[in-house]
Order: sequence, then C-alpha cells, then structure tokens
Amino acid sequence: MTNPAVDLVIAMHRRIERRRMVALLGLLLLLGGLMVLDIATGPALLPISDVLATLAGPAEADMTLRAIVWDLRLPMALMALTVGVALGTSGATMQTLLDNPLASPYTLGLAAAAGFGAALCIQNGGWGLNPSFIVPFCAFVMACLAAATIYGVGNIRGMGTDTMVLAGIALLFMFHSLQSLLQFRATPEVGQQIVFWLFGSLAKATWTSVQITALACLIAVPLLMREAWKMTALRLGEQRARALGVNIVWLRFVTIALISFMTATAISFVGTIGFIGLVAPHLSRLLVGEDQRFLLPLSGLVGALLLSAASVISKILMPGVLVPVGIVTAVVGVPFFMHLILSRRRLAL
Amino acid sequence: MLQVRDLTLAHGDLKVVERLSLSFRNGELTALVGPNGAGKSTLLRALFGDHRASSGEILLDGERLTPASHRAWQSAISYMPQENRGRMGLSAMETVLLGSLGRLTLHVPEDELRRAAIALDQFGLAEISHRSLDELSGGQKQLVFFAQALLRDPRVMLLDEPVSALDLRHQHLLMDDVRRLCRERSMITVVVLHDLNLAVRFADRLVMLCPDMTCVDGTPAQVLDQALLGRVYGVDTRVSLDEDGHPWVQVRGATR
Repeated sequence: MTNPAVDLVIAMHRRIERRRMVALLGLLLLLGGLMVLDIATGPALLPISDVLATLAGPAEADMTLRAIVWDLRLPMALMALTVGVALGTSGATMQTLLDNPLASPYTLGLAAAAGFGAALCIQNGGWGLNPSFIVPFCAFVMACLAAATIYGVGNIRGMGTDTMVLAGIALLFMFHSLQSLLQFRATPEVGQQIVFWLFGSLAKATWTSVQITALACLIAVPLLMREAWKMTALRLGEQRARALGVNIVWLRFVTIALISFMTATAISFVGTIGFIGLVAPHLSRLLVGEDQRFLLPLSGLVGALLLSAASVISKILMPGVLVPVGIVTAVVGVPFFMHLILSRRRLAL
Repeated sequence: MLQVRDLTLAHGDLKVVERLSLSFRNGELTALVGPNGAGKSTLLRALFGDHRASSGEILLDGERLTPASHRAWQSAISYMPQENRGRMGLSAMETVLLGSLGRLTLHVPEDELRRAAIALDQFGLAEISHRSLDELSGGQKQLVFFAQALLRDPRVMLLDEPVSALDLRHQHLLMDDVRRLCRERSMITVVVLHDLNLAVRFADRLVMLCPDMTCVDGTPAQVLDQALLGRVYGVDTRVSLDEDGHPWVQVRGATR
C-alpha cells in the first residue's frame, strides 16, 4: 500500500536531513581551512603550501618550520578546535536543558568558578606543586563545584529551570567578587599572573592539554548525542517531554554531568573565554533548527570555527603581539550578539 | 479498564480530590468537567502517573500503579497536557516522530518515518508536515499533538482541554477524531472539557468534579441537572432538551 502523500512526506524529511548533513560537512571543511590559516598566521607568517607540506610530512620538513608548525602552532590550533567544540556543544545543551537562550558555561558562572579556582591556586603558589598541573586542576574542581551547586539548587526547588539559571548567575557574581578579593590582596606579581590566566589564551596549550581536552570531548559528545532525541523532546516543554516518557531528572543529571566535565576541562587549560558557548548554539539553531541530532554537533563545529577565527584575529590584530584570545572573542562577540538579538526581535514581530 | 480507588490528591497541604473512586471502560469516552480548581488536571496527571497520590490506588486492567511499574504504566498511556509554551521551533513531522521516542536512533529507521508520515496524512497534515509548529494554527497544532499521542499506540488517552484554544469548527473536528479513534482502537479515553454542550455531544459519560470534593458520575442527562450546575458552578442555568433529545445547557449568568 503506497500512498504518494506519505511517500512525499518521507522524501521531504530525508531531504531536510541531507541538507543539514551537508551544512555540517561544509562547515567541517571550512574549519579545516581556517585551522590551516590559523597555523600559518603568527609572528612568522608561513605560506599555506609550507604549512600543508609540513603537516603532511614532518620528517622531510625544515627543522625550524617543523618546530613552529608542530610544536607551537598546531597545539594552539587544535586547542582552539577542542575548546570551541566543548564550549559550543555545552552551550547548546544548557540552552536546551534549561530552556533558556541565555544559558552558557560563561553566563552560568562555570568560567568564573574556574577563574576563581585558578586564582586561589596561583595566590597560594600552587602549594608547592607543579603549576602546569595544579592550576588547571583547581580550576576544574571549582567549575565542577559550581555546576554541582546549580544542579543541587534546581533539585531542592523542585527542578525549576529558572531557579537553576538564577543560581548560575548568582554564582557568576559571587565567584567574580571572590576572585576580585584575591586580586585585591595579591602582590603585584601574583596579581599579574592571575590576570594573565583570566584573559583566556590558547598560548598555554601543550600537546598534553590538547590531548586531555580532546579526550574529554570524545567521551562527552558521543554520550550527549545518545540523548539527542530526548533533548529534542524537551523543546516541546517539560510536561510534554515527560508525557513522551522522558525521565527529566535523570536526563538533566546525565547531561549536566557530561557538559560540566567537558567545559571544566576545557576552560581549566585556556582560562576564561566568553561568548562562544552563548553565540554558537544560536547561530547553529538558525541553520539547522531544533533537531538536537544536528544542533549539538553543529554548535560544537560553529564554536570551533568562532574560536579558530578569533585565534587568527588575535594574532593579526596587533602585529608582533599575541592578544589573548579571550579578549578577542568578547570584543568580536558583543556586536555579533547584539545583531542577533535585534534580528530575532524583527523575526518575532 | 482503568480504576481509581479511594484516591486522594493534594498540592502540598491543599487537598484537591478526596477519596475518589471511579472506573473507566475501554472504548468509552469520558468527559471530565467541573469548575476551575476542582482538580481535573491534577486527576489526569495522577492517572498518567505524573502526580503522586496522597492515598488510594490506581489500577489498569487490574495492575496497580507503583513506583516499580511506573515506566510500563506510562508507556501504555498517552497524555496530552494543556498548551503551555510559547515558541516551538520543531516541525510537525519532528513533533509527531517524537511519539515513538523510545525507538528513535540517530539515523531514523524508515518504518518509523513511515508511521509518522501516515499519522500526519490521516489528519490531513501531510501538506504542512515540515512547517514549524510556530507557523501552524491552533487547530493544526492540536492535531499534530494528537497524532503524536496516537503514535504511542496507547491503551489509555488522557486529553487535558484539547479544544479550549480552538474555533467551533476545529473543536468539532478534533472531538470527532477523538471519538472515532476511541471506538476504533477501543481506548479508554478521558477528556477534560469546559464546554458542557460539547461534552454532551461527544462523551458517553460525564464525570463532574465539584469544589466540595464530591463527584457526580453518570450519563449527560443525569449529570446536567439545573440545581446541581447552579450549586457547582455558581451560575444560573436552564437545561432543556434539543431536537436530538440531548440535554442543552444555557447559561443565563453568574450567581453572586
């Protein structure tokens, strides 16, 4: 029994899926190109052909070139990629989960918590431990604590999403104040170190930190994708999602745990990078809609694209100076975000 | 058969339903009526297992609803809550597809797509299957959610005010579909309705929840008593018989 109308609906659905897949692949290609550009830019501008040749065959490449590409710039470029993926995917998940367009790792205080953790650690001289390990570790622990607090508060108050967002914003203010207090009391040298950490910079990237962040993403993103349909159901509202058989308490626990782990890992190595986690999901939603199977990976991709672009800009903004990428994302991010708000208003009217 | 025994429901300390006993039969369409705050929505949520009863029990075909049977219980029931959200960017197709949530994988199997597409087509929604819910009319949106609810192949249908946002024509179209599917699939069907005349026209049975936590249960003719309506709703009514012999409620004003 074939029904042409039914077949048409199915064909349309498949066509839309294909189109979204093409959008994903297209942006993936763009990201690849941007990463090569990212590696090429810096104090020494490299020709793209040299970059490609060195990437393809490091053994035959010139020693200096190999050192610049493989030891300095590739870790940074890959860090931009993984951190962008972590922030973008987490932002999308948070916005879906908390049903709030303002949710992101930054606005809910995770980044501020990480900053405070790092500042606390720097202030105390890392308790005599290796700073390249203990500073990210403290940042990670504090960010996880913030996430657990947000989750806990939502749990007490009957899991209200608005309460969770409010709790996150309150944490943002609290951790900012605590961190200011530390800075206020710190000696100029220590204060300088704290400020440098807070700026958010990819220059701190090493192969080890890249590998750890990539591993966190490789664990968290596929597990998040398993919940994609449930999160899509959540877009119909909590009550309707429950009516479809979604265990919301459990879903919230699993996803918050995953994204906290992923973002805490990412920001503990690079510092505070705002706006990526907020803007990437909104941009992606414009492209592929609310189907979380596409929205989550695309948000990660767009996050990586934005951070790679910011990284390129941060290197050419002031020749010879590497402006911390955290500054660039915010400066480029604000006008972008304003545009987004305004164009949305036009749509809503 | 869906049975409620000595059921007491409360919001915190405030009891809304007390020691209620009812049973709902297969293929029977029950309209749940009563003034605001009488506990209609709460009862519906309790039947779905989404509101814990303070005391009493609920049974479906003799099986009790317990925390252990909660999952299986909910999979047998389709519950359509009241409209509660502003923006919904999902398309009609995506929304209906979610009705088979448990079977969806990253690549949606062909037969799941077909089931959803057939459901859309049955309600005349094939044309608009890929528009977002925001672009649909209230009537189309309710049909999409109804199609979604049916995709779950439920034994019980619980609909909370499905027609309150619809115009006259779409109220009747939707209720026609509800009654037809209730019969065809022999589903236990409970619909919260505010419009008593609509309830008379479509329901086999009326259950009226009263603010004093009593309940009147019976055929439309039994429940729609002039004095009773006056007491329960606080309105001055005339109940007469229309040409088809159905009771017909005419509200003349609120009593002060």
